[in-house]
Formats: sequence, C-alpha cells, structure tokens
Amino acid sequence: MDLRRVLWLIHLGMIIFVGWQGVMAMQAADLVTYLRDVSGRTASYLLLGTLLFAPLSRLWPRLRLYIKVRRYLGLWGFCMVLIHVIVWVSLEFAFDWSLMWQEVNDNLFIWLGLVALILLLPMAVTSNNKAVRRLGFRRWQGLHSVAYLIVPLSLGHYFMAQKVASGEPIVLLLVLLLLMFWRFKYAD
Amino acid sequence: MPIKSSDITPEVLFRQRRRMLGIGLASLSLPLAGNWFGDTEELNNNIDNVTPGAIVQPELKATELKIINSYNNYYEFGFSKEAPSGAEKTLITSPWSVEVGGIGADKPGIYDIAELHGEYGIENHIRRFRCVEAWSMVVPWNGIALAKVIKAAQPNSKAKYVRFETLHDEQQMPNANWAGGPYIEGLTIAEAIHPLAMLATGIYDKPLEQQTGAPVRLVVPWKYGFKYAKSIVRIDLVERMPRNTWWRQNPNEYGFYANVNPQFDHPRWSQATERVVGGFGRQKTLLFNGYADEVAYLYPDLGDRRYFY
Repeated sequence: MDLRRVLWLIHLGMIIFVGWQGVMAMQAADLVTYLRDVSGRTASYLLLGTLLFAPLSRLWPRLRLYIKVRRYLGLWGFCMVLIHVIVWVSLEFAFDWSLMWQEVNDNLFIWLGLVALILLLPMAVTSNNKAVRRLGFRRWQGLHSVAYLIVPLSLGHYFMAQKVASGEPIVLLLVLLLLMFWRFKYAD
Repeated sequence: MPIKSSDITPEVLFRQRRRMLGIGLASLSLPLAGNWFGDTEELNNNIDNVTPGAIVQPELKATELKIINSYNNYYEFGFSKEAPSGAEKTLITSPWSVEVGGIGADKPGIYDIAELHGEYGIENHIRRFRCVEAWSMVVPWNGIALAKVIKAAQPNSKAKYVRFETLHDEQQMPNANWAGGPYIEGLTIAEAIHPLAMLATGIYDKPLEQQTGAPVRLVVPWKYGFKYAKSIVRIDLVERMPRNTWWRQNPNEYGFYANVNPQFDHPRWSQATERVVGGFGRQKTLLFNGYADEVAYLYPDLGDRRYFY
C-alpha cells in the first residue's frame, strides 16, 4: 500500500479513537481517571510501537519504505502524553502547583514520567525533515536514540503506578526487553 | 449516559434524615479503651455503650449512587474498576447466611440478612471512604453495628481479633482465585466493637449490589478501603491476628491495621492527598480519614508505621 494512504489511515484511526474515548470518558464513573489512564496507556503503546521498526525492518526490509509511519506513531504518542499531562495538571490537580510538586516529590513513578516527558520534548520538536537537514542526519539520529531511554522510563512509570504487579505493563516491559535484546544483539 | 436526577436522593433529604438519627451526640464520650485488650466483662460493658447513631456527619456531601455503583475494586470479579459492575451479575445473594463463630465465641450462630435487620434495626450513616489507591468517596451506608453481632456471639477471653471471610466461589466469581483463596480481613476486638464499625447491607437505602459487596460487607471508615471485606460469609472471633489477604499478597506495602494517615506514604505513591471520584482536583487526606477524634485512642503510638499501612 502506498505510504500516503497508510499515514492517512493512521491519522483517521487516531482521530476516531480519540473521539470514541472522549465519549467513553463521559460515561465513565470517573471522567478524570478515565482520561488520565487511557491517554497514558495509549501513549505507552504508541511509543513502544516506534521501537518495533528497527528490528522488524531487519526481518522484512520492505518496511523501510514505511519508516515515516514511525515518525507519526511517535508524534501521536507525544500527543497522548500531552493529553495525559494536561488532564493531570488541570483536572486532577486543578493547577495547584505546590500540591503537584509535593506529589512529584513523594512519588518515584511520577519522576520517571516527568523525565520521560522532558526527554520527549526535543524529539517531538525535531520530528520533521527540516530538523533532520538542519541537524545533519548523524546528530539527528543521535538525538532520537533517546527513545531507547524514554520508552523504558514510560513503561516503568506505568508499571509502578499499579497497585499490584498487573499484566499489561509487564507484557509491555517484556516486549521492550525482547526488542532491546534484538536491537543490540543484531546491531550493524 | 447522563445520570437521572431520580437516581440521586436529594442531598437535603439525606442530611435531614441524618440529623434525625443523630440522637444523643453527648454519648460520644465513650468509656471504651484504656486497655489495649480489655477483659471480657469490660468488653461486654463497652459493647453495651456503643451508640453508633451518635456519630453524625451532616457536613459531608454524599457521592452519587451511580458513581458508587460503577467505580469499584472487587478483584474476584476482575481487576479493573469497571469489571465488577460490568460483569454479568452472577453473585447469588439470596439466600445468604453469615456464620459467626471461632474459638473466642461462646455462642456461635448462623444469621441471614433479614434476621440481622430484624434483630438490630437498620442504621444509616454517611461516611468518608478512602481507598489505599488515593481516591475517595462519601457513602451513605445502611446496616447494623458490628458490635451487636459480636455481642450476640458472647465473646470470651480468647476473643482478641475478629476475622472476616468473603465468599469464595468459582461459579459465581470469574476471578475467584486471584489471591489463591477466600478474601480475608481482620480487626482487633477493640476496633470491631467501635461504634464506627458496621456491617453494611445497603447504600442510599437500596440493597448493596454485586460490585459493592452484596449482600453484607464490613465498613471501617477510618481505615483504607481494602479492609472493608465484601460479601461476608464468616465472622470468627479468634485469638491470633488474622493474616489478611493484602498483607499476604505484599507484606511490604500492606499490613494489618491499614489506618488512613497522610503522613505515611505507600512505598510507591503518596497518601497525602486523594482524588474525590466524580469530581475535579484533589483534597488533603485526613488522619484516620477524618475520624481521629473517635478512634485515635485505639492506637498507642501514632508515629508507628505499623498502624498505617
């Protein structure tokens, strides 16, 4: 399938997903928790998804033609992270900065999320061809390898926020471990 | 789906009713305590002095029933907040009996819910509910004082703790085995006869639903929500501290007492504040969930972490 059509489908799918989740959130017992959790979870899927490209294109070289998909998965992931953070700051903490600071300091898992967010910002800003040209491919690639730090931080953040060691973040962490193994064992 | 106004008892009505029930605030000065574990005679005297109706909280605004009934932790029906209410209603709550016994009970017995209601009369109390996950609600419970059931069992000198057991039935509970056995909770005998401790059978004058622990559950408003054993089938007066389920699951993070205290954080998150479910923003968590005046005397050292996780 032609790349433009694939990208178009991804955008359409994400817009429908966001709208649908908005409707679901209105029906949930707790709007705030629902929005906070669904955006966080979706972000972790999308960000982990971006790491799939390197190993999979080794297995299936044709995938290299679709490398741009990775950029948009990452940007949609960033978008979900933004929603996650905006919900947290506005709806959950009602802009009470001192309370938020106390929460951050009391909770290692929020620190992990915060660090991941900060690392994600320069990546999001440089996710365009212009930035690749301006930085030069090598430097740009170096900057974007921070993804290998961001994804473990995000998944750790997700895992630690649970009351019990629950299945979903563990599966995601296992996928990540496998990917890392693959990525570095078979690195060129 | 919007919440119909008919689903919610007008708050004013609830406050009125509470006020009518709030007879004799003076009897709040309880002669309880002194001793960590009193002798049997003292225990029975104390139970006679339990007047739960005395503790009223007209200032609390109850959470809407719709929210109370759709945001629940009941792992036997699934791990998500939606699973217990979303799952098929497989729990058979009638007939239902609660067996009261144990080595510390001179007069064991088997009760059904109607019997409990008939014998002791239904009380109504609006109480704060604080989950260990740092969210909260305000629940208008209906039920009976736990102390009355304990008294009927005629506790002897071996009654030092009370052990609660939830129904464990794979046919009725899709996730019955998540903890490898029945859900167990426990209280000290002094906690169990405290006027704030109740066996709830309803919320907003409607019977409890599957997801809220039908047909009978424990309510201990100064403790974290996991202490509120649901769908209780056995209550035993015992000599040794019962190993409650969450304590067994993760002894570093959950203990026996689990009293609410904003100063003692969970190892992975802060307990200083809480989200009021259905609302926006967070509010500060109160020592003993706002019931410090009533229960603090039960705990000799408020700096001891043992009491607060």
